[in-house]
Amino acid sequence: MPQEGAKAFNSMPPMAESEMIVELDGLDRVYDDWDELARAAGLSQMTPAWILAWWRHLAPIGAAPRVVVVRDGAKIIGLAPFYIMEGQRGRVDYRLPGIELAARLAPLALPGREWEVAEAIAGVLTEALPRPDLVALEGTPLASAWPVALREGWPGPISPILRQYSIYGCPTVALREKSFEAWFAGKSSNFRSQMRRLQRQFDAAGGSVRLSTQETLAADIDVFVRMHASRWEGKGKSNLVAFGDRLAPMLEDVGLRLLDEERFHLRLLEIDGEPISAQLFLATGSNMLYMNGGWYDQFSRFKPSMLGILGVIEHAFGRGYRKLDLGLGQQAYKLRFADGNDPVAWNVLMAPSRRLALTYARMFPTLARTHLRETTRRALPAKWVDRLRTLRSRLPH
Amino acid sequence: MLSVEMIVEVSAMREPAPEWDSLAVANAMPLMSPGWIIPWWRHLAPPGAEPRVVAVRDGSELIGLAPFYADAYSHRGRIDYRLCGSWRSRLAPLASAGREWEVAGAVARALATTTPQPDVVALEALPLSSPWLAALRQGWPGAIRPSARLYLTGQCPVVSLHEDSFDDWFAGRSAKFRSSMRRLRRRFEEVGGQWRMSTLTTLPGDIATLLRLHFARWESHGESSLAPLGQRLPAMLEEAGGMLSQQGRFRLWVAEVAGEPISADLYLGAGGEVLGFNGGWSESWKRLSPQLLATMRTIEDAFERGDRRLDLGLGDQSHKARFADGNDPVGWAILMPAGRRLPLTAMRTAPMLARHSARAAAKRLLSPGQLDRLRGARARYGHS
Repeated sequence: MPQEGAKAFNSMPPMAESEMIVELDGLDRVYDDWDELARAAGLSQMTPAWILAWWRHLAPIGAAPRVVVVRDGAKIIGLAPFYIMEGQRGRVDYRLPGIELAARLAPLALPGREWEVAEAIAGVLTEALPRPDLVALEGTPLASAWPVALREGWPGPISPILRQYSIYGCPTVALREKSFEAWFAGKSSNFRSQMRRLQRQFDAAGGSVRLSTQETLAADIDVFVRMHASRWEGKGKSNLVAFGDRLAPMLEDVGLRLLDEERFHLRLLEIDGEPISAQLFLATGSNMLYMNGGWYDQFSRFKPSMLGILGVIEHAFGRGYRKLDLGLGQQAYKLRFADGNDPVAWNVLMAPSRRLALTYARMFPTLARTHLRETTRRALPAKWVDRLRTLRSRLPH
Repeated sequence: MLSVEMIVEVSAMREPAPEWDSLAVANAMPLMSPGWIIPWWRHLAPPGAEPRVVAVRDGSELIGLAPFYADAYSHRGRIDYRLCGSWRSRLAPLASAGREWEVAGAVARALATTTPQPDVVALEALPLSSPWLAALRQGWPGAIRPSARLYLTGQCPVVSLHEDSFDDWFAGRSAKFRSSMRRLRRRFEEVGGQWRMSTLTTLPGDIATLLRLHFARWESHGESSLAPLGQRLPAMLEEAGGMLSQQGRFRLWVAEVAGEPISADLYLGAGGEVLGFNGGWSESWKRLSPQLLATMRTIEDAFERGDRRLDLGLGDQSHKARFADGNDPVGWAILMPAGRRLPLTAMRTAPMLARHSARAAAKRLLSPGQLDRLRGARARYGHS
């Protein structure tokens, strides 16, 4: 449709202004606005409490913050907490922190302003020092426009190369019923009777449930870390276990900040006062996220992970949350609860520059490997894929 | 267990219409409702188009619906699957919340095995914040995923209506905006201007007014994309209006001065979303900025109905930017499934992709002034 004469009004809104914060100290002054953006997006791993704790305890040596803050007037409308690592042979990667802990990472923006914010972020990145060779958007919600928006908003005559190379499912539970009872009544009779039976067995064994408090936090996190590590013994590699002694202080840091706001939910199942499982959930906006958990094998008959999730669903209904994200991976116990899937994707943007060919060449093995894995998964029967996985895990690392 | 039904007859499309409509409402997709798509089929579907509507059920519950059609005639033998209702505005398959992935897998499997086999699955005006492109690609059966190309994106300014009332929303706008709008409204009232929404009785006349004003606006600007639809368009709109207006989802606003229409604007609603379809206004009333007044009236009405967002449609024209507080872009994408015909399909698709790449590169390389001159030259060359 033709445009109406723009004479009467100065139509276009003012351009967003942006800055890059390169010192951790500079992030305190944007803490509250940043948290608001994370709440609006419902992204627990993008809250300042989570990311600043990551910086204090888990950030790799040599990492440096490159946090882009986008303002409209005095109001912060977007924030992208990137960090840089001068990685493989001088390639400069801009990444979002914390993918080792959980997926669903993304830049933040006020709803509806993602596109505008992406353009501003891209503008800042092209002027940044060092200039990015690659912007990695790992574990980004698939139903978000960030990768395309950053590519489209990138200034200059050539747009970056965008490659999406992995997609993983994240089972979700929609909490749209009026109450926990209504939700539970809507599940299959098989599910209901199994859960009731488990609950009865747990109660009969002297089971109890408690949530971590400021007083019990440190000890409870130790239990959580210990149980998680024991679950993984002899089963391969856990990213959380790989953090070693640094993980507990990081979680404690987050807990101290978020416990009073009821956004850090560490749920312990105990029998006769002894913990048998610990599960960590985070809450932001209208969403709860299952971060991770652990339990002792000798109590597996109670299916503590399922009892824990059932309990947190009841809690979530009580607090008015709308969705429980069960996190990366489609394990059977998650699928018992899930009624949806909200996948995340791994993307890279390779910035146009003289070094683009080199960046692409260095990225190529990763792209080829994931492509091969995907093709194998598609071409072979599931049984063969499992055999291949087993064979691969037996190979020396 | 999911079950999939492929609807290949137009007459059978009415059968799941109530559940289909519930999905369109749940997805807040006004253009994907059966009340809009069935009339499109009856009046505007391209010659030779064959319905391939994929309905996905979990037990007896409809959890997804992808109203595709097969088009074997428009591209020299290339078989394209497109979503019905090829408007330049927000089209996507429908699914229950959270089940898009599962539905996409079922839809992809159904498309891969249907006849004629698709060479291209086109997702046009697809919301960029939706997972459908990746989900259909990922869910496509076979060892090799289809090749996917997102070749065009377009801005869609939106107005969020999260305030408690129109007055609160208006109070939150800039002082300049408020005084401009008040002045326009005063002028409109001074000349005796009145608003009315089309009813079933006035519908045929109002649609004729809408199209007359719309095409008059385009007379000196080239050709409207609605022009080639000719007399089929009013028939389609009348039928859609008949199906949707009683639910308050076909909102044709007419502004009149002394009984004479000076503007007409059509909006469609579903699930709290209001979508600007198109409109027109009389050049002789330009001083009243009828387009701005119509948008204001629509926003006021949307608050009264409890709507949550107004989508101003494709394009970032200045009058839209006055109201918009966000942008929810759409993209044009194609999936090309692997197969013997893929090289031929790729060859046939290459010119279109190259044209869009060149246009995007020109946009990046040239200044707005240079772009305007280039557009002007292209229009002159095109018309000569």
